[in-house]
Amino acid sequence: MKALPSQPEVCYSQSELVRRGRELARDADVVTFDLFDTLLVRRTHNPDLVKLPVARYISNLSRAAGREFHWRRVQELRDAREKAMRAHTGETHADHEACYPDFMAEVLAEIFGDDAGDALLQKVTDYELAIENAMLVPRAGIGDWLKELAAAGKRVIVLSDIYLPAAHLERLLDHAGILPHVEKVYSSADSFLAKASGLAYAMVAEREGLDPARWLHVGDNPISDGFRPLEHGIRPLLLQDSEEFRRRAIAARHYFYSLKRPFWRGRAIQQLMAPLEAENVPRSPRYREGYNFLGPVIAMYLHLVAERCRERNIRKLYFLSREGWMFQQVWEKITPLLYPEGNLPETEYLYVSRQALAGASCAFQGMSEDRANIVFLPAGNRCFRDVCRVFSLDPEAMAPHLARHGLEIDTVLSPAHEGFEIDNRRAFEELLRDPDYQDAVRAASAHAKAALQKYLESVGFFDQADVALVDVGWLGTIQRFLHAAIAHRDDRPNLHGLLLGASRGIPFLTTNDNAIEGLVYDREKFDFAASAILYARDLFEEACRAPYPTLNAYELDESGAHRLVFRQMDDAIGQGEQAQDRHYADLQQGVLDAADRFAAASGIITQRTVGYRPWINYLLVSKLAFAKRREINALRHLHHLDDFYGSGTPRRRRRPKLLHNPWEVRGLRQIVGCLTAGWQFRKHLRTMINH
Amino acid sequence: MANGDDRPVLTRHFDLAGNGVGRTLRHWVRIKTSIMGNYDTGPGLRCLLTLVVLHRFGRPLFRLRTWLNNQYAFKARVRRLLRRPGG
Repeated sequence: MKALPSQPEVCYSQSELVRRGRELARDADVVTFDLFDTLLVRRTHNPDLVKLPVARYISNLSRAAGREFHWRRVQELRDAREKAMRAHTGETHADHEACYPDFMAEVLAEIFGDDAGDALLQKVTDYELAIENAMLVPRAGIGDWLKELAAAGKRVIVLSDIYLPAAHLERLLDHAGILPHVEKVYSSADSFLAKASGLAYAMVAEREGLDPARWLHVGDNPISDGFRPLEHGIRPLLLQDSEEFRRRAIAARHYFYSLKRPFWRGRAIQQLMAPLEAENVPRSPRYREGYNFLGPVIAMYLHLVAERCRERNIRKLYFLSREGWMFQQVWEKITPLLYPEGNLPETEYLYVSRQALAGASCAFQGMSEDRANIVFLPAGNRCFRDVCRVFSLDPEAMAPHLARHGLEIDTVLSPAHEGFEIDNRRAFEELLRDPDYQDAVRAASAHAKAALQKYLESVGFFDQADVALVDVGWLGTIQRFLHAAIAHRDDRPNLHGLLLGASRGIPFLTTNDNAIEGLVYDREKFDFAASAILYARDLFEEACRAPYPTLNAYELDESGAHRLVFRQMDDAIGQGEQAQDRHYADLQQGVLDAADRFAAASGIITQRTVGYRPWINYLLVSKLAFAKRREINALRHLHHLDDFYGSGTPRRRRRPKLLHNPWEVRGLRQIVGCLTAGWQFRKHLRTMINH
Repeated sequence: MANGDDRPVLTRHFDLAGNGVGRTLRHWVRIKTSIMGNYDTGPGLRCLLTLVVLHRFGRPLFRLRTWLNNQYAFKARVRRLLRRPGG
C-alpha cells in the first residue's frame, strides 16, 4: 500500500467515497467499516430519540405490573445507569464504554424488582431493536461496494463504538441485508476497547491477524475513524457527506419545531417516515399521493381509533367491509410498534354493505322514515321501485299497499326528478305509518334478518358489551341499519362507530347503545378545515376499498346455515370495479408502505395523537380544497360503485352552475374550479355555517 | 413500469413530493389572509423561512460548512491565532 497521508483523506459525498474506496481497496486485503452513519444511517437526527419509545414501553409495562413509573423517570434511570457503567469501565479501561444488556438489566431490576428477569430483558431488547431497525437505512452506494468487496474475496469487518453488543449489531445488519457479506462484527460494548482510543484497532489486528499496511478503514468520525487508525498504521477513508448532514439538519428542525408548535408534529412524523437511499426510487404520482397524503391521514385516524378504544375500554373492533379492508391492514402494521404492550381490542373483519343490511334492518322495526329518506339522498333514485331495490322488497307485492295511499310503483318521490309533487311525498310518509304496510315489510325481511343474525353470531358479535365499528363513514348508514337489525336482542352490544368522517346528512339518532363519532371530520364538532374532506369523499372510499365485489345479501341455505352472497363481477359495473382496482393499486401500495414506517416515526415524535389535528387539517385543505389539476387527475377514480344509486336521471338545474368542485368536473370547468379554489372554499364555509 | 411522471417520494431537497415547504408557505399566506379553519399554532413564519432555506438553498451551505470543518490545518492555525495573547 502507498505511504500513509499525514491526515485522514476526506470524501464529501457517498459516490466520491465509493470511487476513492475502490481505488484504495485494490491494495488492501481487509476493509473495515464503521457501522452507524457510514454503513447505516438513522432517519432521526439524534440516535438518543430511539430510546424514548423504549422508555414509554417500559413505563406501560410497569403500569400493567402495578408499579407506576413515568417514562421520563425510566429514561432518567436508564441514563443514570448507563453513565455509572461508563464511569466504572473508565476506571479499568481507556474507553468509557457501556454494555446495553448489563445496564438495561439493572434498570429493569430497579423498576420491576423480583419480576424482572431474562424474559423481560429479552422483550425490551426486541422492542428496542425493532425501533432501531425501523429507523435505520443501509446506505445504498456503500452497501453495494461492501458486497462487491466481499464478492472479490476481501475480508470485510464491521467495527462500532456503541453500547449494543455485536450480537445485537448483527441483528441490525441482518435486517439491512448486509450481514451475509460481513465476516465479523466487533462492538466496543463486548470488549470495552473502542475505536475512540484506538485500542479496538490493536485488538482486532491481533485477533484477526491483520497487517495494518494492507488494511483500509472507512468511517465518519474524524478522530475514531480518521486519526486513530492513522496512528496504528491503517489507511483511513473518511466520509463527511454534506448532503447527509443537511438531511439530518432538516430532520432536526422538524423535530424541534414539533416540540414548540403542534402544527409541525404531523410533518415531523412524515419527515421521519420518508423513504431514504435505495427505498427512495421513482414512484408513480398515485403512489406518491398514497405515501405522502392518504397514508398519513389514514394512519393518524387509526391511531385515534386505538386511543378511543383504550379510553372506552372497548375489547372488540370490527372493520366494516369494504373500506375496512385497508383500515385493518394499516391497523395491523401500525399497532405492534405503537402499542407493543398490547392492551388493544381484538379485531375482526365484518362483511356488511348498505344493500345487504337494508333489508334485514326492517325485520323488527319495519321501514322507519329516516331509513326510507336515505334512499332519496342519491339523485339517481326517483320512485318506490328504488325503495324496493334498496330494501330488497318485491314491488309488485307492495303495490296494493301503495294503492291504498294513492301511489303507484313509479310515482316520483324524489324532488330531484321531473314530475315530483309534494302530495305524493306526503302520501309516502302516510304509507310508512301504515301498520299493514309495515307488517308486509317485516314479513318480507324476516329471511334476511335470520341470516344476518346467524352470521353475526358466528363472528362473536354478541359476545361483548361494547364493540367499535370502523368505517369510512359519512351518514353512518351501515351502523344505522345494523343497529335496527339487532335492536330486538337483549344481548346486543353497544355500538361505537368510529368513523373517518361523519357528514350526518341525515341526523343520526344517538343513544346510549348506538353512537357515531367522526374522528377526522365530524359535522357536530364544526371543524371547518377538516370539512375539506367532503370535497372528495369518493377518493377515500375508493382508496380504502377492498379489491373484491360488494356484499349483496345474507342468505340461509337448506341446512339453515348463513351464506354471504356477493355481487357478480361479470357485468359492466363489475368490470368497471376491477378496472378501478387496477387504477388504484399503486395508491393503495403507497398507503400501506407509509403505514409500515408511520408507527416508529410517531413513537419517536409523540406516541400520542396530540397534535395530529392541525396537520390532518392542513393536508385535507391543501390537498383537497386547493388541489392542483394534475393531482386531481392523478387521484380521481375511474369508476365508483354506489350500491344505493338508482338508474334515474335527475332533472337539470334551471340555472347552470358557474363554478364547480374541480374534483367533480373535467376540462375548462375544472381549470376554472381550480383557479377559484379560494372563493369556493369561502362558499363552502357559508354552507357549513348555514347548515 | 417506470414512466415520465415517476419521481421519488422524497425530493432531492429532502422535501415531501407534492407537499413541499413551498406549499406550506403558500398555505400560511392563506391562513393569514382568509378563514381556513383550525391549525392550532399554525406553522409560524420563522419556522417556515428556516425550512425554506434548508430545503431549497441548503446544499451549497452545508457543502461549505462540511469542507471548512475538515480543514484541520486551517482550523488549528485559527485556533492558535485566537489563543495568542492579544490575538
